Amino acid sequence: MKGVDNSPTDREGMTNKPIITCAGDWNLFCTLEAPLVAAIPQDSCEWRRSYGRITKFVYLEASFVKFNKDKNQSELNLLKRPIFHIYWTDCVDIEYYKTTLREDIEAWLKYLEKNSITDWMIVLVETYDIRKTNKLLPRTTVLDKIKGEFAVKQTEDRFISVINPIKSEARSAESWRTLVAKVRHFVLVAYNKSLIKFEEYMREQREKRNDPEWDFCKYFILQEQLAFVLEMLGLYEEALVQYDELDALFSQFVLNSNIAESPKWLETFKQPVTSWQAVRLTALVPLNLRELIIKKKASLLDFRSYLFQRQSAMLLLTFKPWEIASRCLTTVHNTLVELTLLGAHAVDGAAACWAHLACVETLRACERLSSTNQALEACTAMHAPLLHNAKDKLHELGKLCGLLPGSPDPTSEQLHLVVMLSAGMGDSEPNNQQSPTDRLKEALCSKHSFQQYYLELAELAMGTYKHIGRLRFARHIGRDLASFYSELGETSKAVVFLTDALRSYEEQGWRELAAQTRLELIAAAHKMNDVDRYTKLSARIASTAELEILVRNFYFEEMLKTIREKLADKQETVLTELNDCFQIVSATLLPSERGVYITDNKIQCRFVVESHMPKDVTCSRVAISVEVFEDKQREKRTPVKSNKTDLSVSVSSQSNSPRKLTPESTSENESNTLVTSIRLDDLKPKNPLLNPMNITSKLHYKEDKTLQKATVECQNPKVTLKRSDSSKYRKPSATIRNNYETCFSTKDIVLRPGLNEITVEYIAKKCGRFKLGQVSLLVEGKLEFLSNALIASKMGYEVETQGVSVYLNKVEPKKDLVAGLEQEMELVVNSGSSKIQENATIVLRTSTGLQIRLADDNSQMSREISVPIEAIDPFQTTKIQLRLFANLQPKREKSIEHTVWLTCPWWEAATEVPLHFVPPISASWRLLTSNTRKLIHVTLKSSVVHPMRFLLSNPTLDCDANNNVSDLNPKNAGDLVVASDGTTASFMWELLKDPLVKAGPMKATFAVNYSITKEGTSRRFCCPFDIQDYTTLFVVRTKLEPGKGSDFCRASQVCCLQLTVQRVNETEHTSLMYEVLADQTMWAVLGRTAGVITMESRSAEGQSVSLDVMPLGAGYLPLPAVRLSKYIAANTRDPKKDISAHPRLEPFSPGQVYHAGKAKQIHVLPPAPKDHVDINV
Amino acid sequence: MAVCVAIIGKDNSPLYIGGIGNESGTDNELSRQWLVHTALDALEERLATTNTSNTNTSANAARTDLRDLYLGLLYSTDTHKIYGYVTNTRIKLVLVTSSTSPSGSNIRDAEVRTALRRLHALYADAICNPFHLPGDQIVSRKFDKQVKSLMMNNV
Repeated sequence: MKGVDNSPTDREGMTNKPIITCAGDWNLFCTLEAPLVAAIPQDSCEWRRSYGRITKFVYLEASFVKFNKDKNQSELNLLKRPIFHIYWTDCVDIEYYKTTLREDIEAWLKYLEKNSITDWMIVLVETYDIRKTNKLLPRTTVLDKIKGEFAVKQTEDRFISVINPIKSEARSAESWRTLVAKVRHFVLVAYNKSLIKFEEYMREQREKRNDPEWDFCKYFILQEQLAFVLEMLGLYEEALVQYDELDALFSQFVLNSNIAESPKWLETFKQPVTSWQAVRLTALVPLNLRELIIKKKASLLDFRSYLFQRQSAMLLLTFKPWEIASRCLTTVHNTLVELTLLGAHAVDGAAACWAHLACVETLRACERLSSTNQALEACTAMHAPLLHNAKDKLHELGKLCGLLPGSPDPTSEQLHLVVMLSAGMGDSEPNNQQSPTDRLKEALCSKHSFQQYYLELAELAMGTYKHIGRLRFARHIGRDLASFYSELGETSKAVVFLTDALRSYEEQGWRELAAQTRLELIAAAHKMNDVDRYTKLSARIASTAELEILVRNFYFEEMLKTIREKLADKQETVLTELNDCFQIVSATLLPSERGVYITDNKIQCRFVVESHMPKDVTCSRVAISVEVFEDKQREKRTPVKSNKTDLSVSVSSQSNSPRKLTPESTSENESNTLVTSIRLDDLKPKNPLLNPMNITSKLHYKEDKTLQKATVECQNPKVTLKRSDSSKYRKPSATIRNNYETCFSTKDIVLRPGLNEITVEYIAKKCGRFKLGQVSLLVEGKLEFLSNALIASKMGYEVETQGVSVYLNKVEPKKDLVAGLEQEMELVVNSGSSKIQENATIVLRTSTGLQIRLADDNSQMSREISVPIEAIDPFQTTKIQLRLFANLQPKREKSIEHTVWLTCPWWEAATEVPLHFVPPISASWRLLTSNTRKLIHVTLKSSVVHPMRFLLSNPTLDCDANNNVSDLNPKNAGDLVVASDGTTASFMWELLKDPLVKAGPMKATFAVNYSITKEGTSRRFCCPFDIQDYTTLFVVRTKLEPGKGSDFCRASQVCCLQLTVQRVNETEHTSLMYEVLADQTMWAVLGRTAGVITMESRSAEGQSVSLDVMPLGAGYLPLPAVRLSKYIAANTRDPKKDISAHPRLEPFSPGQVYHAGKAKQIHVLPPAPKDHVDINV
Repeated sequence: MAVCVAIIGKDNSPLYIGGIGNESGTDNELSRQWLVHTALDALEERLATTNTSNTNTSANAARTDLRDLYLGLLYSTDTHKIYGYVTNTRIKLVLVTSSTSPSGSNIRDAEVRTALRRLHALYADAICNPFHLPGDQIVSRKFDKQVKSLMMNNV
């Protein structure tokens, strides 16, 4: 009984203690009663039960009554019937026993036997006597006598002697304990017996439940006795089972009554309900209700209250308050259902009153217990639904009594109802605390207190739900609160709850609930006169497919109406989320005609929008904002200078775009590439469930090659079973309007329900990379729908400026530019994407030696001209013909480099164009010698690659003043032609000079006129050259003579080579070396091939040397060549000369030595026949 | 037997809600949706407790817990009782009975269990349709018909 405030002893007159009768010496017993009553509950006793039920240790109590023969109770009354009988005596005198006591006991036992009572005990109270203990024969006491007389084997232990504890406490302890233990034991044995009997009877009764005469109330009271006994024994759980059985039985009857014919007794519970008192959750037995049940005057609510209170009592005693809480709701629900099933008449609201009070009382009881208990958590979980129910019931009552906010003042009927209901609740228990009954009565009295109570309950319920994590319930209450607040006029509070709820419904895809909540929200917005919200919600509701079309149409019209009537004065547009009412399906940037988007040109974007609106809606403007596409890698790169152009003579494309990406950048830029067309469906992450599973079948074999099993195996379970984050709902916050200064736009589009294709356009002003941003649909000029759906898609385009391009081109690109001739070129100006204004001029400057003029006028060539450019439209080209002339330089170079600088008005710096020219012809000359005569040979050839021919005329060779040349050229030299196909022209002059006078070096200049055509202007080509050391100094002659005795030179015969060196002119070189350079296949030189000769400086006489040579073959053989060199001997005394240890040779210039026999040949006969020699041998 | 059944996806969004009964007063389609929606709270609570008990109790007990997909009565109101069932892939099946109707008030736990098991089978059949995308709402007319008959079955 610990922890329960009401101990069983002070129950309202109900004592279910086992009754023990006392026979025999009542006065004796009276002295012992107090200690006995106190002693019995002090210890537990093991209760062994039949039918294998669990053995329990129970604490007993007992109440003793005087044995009364006449007061015999039916054994079916478990509570009132004595359970145990004791005969008390303190007789010590055997004689007395024999005379009176024996008879008395006999009569008592007989009576018991007659009533088939086997639970009895005879107690002999002795006074402690030291002498007696020493007695050797124990069977001489009174007890022995009684035992001997009455005991049979089974009942031997029912005779007990106890030492009177009053008289000698010290000695009696042992025997007293035994007595108490025996009493406990026998009581329990007695209970076991009687319970078995009772249960049997109870079952019998229950089986009769389908009898028309059977009465549930009677049965209830019957079975409840068992519960009482079990409760008394402390077996609360088993007691609860009894009540639960009764509960179930009753419920079943009621439910069945709905289907089948209802039994007669059920009529009792159909009687009108007059009282709906709060249940009192204490361990006390509500006797008044029990009385009603016994008297069959209990209404359904009375009965249910009683039953619930009893069940709760059992749970209270076992400290399970949460169990009470959880049963409470079921009971309330069941009761309400039963009430309707039975059709018992009750005042409206009576049931609600009762249910409310039951819930609140349960809460109170739980709180009372939980505060001292650790089960607080378990209770809290159950509190929320109780509070919820209490709140709902209160609301119901409020509605009935006209207490809800917004309702008119209560009518007299309603006031009457309040009085009725308050009366039915009865008086609250006399307690200082305010009971739930008081609170409810108070709440029903005035609107104000009702609202206060209702809000208190609702907020508490919501808070508790949130605390235990039942957010959906909390939101549900939030909606109730919202409607309450809204009625109360505090719409802003309502809006908070509703938006909260709305968000959670949208998050989890409960569209219909969301739609419903939106309808509530719009009502609130209407009340608050929140035009913005009202308009937005109207649009949203109008496009909610879940709602009925009538509703949608209504709000569609509302939307248009508010826009026209209430928003017309507003400056700014009302922003809302586009995706609620429209859906962007796809978007495509239309490709430009030129392949790239160019500034000042139109870019078009076509996108498909699905309208969810029920009717056509006019969009006064459709726009997509444009954002600069930033990408970090690009920023790192230095931007390409917009006007830096790679102008070369060859055609080069000029563009400012960074489109020509280097190969590595294209690969790394994959994430940065802009897409031009998307379907928004494609952006959604692919459903992982749609991926094919990589599954293979496998056969497993046993060791003996028989099939063990066939399995299907997934190769990539990690991929397939990969946890995918459930897509969290994100609140789209598109209500921030982007900058629409640059945007694609179009005006006045009618969007029909369903798919619409809209083309928006934009004229690009700047170049760069851009992407599409926010989409905006402006409806009726005031309601603007915004969507950021496209932003994530990286959909964009690139605008390029094609700047003005200027090229200096050859007219005939394949031909080289030729210096010394007027060459045609053209200046090509491409306007790109911009216009070229009038009066634009390009200034061309040339490098030295290059002159330029316009082709169409015959102005003078100059090094700087300015070329006027006519005004042209974008993407037009204009060409200006130019003529260039590069001066011929006397240098003999392969090509001549020149530069043209272009200065254009639209570029800051001048552009350099390198040009290279080739000279038209080139000249080469040779000095020819014939003995002492000198001739100059000039050869001209063309150095131009492309086919070209020049006519030559008037060749001249001018020498220094003291030299003369004689022209050996034919006089019709004008016909000479030099062409690039290899045709050359040669000219010859003889140098006129005294052969014996040594001449110094001379300068000569060759000049010739050349022209393309005979009539055309001819220009002069000059070629200067220097001639040195050309005077002939020595003449070398060679002569071959046959050997001695021979007339002819024959092969393989030694001949004599006569070498003569004659000095023809003055020279300081006197020491000469000759070398015979014979062809070794033709000649064999015998002896020395070289030698040094010294010429007398004065003598004109030549030096002669003869050498033996042998021709190796027959025929006309060229004479061996002789080379003459200056011989500078070693150790020359002249200190000026180079001092060298060895002699050395220096060659003569060509023309200084003339070989007279250079081209001579000699006829060599074959070797003479030697036949006779052979014969001699 | 039942006035409403609902199939709710893993992410707690409804895949199918079917109801029968009079569309009057408090017992309409929408009110049943509220019931089903709030039932999710109780259902998740139930799942969470089984999960924690799984970790606490022995493996055997956990397995039996897991195997029983039927979660029993989730909660009840004055007029309705809401039962839950969850598949191994966390698809939640919710069945609502009306306690005011004679058939609904007298229903036994075992009947509800059987009904929910049958609903599970029907659901499995419905999503076996190769044209059905997992996670999408079930729009099959055949399924609807079958579910309706399942609900009517014990009426």
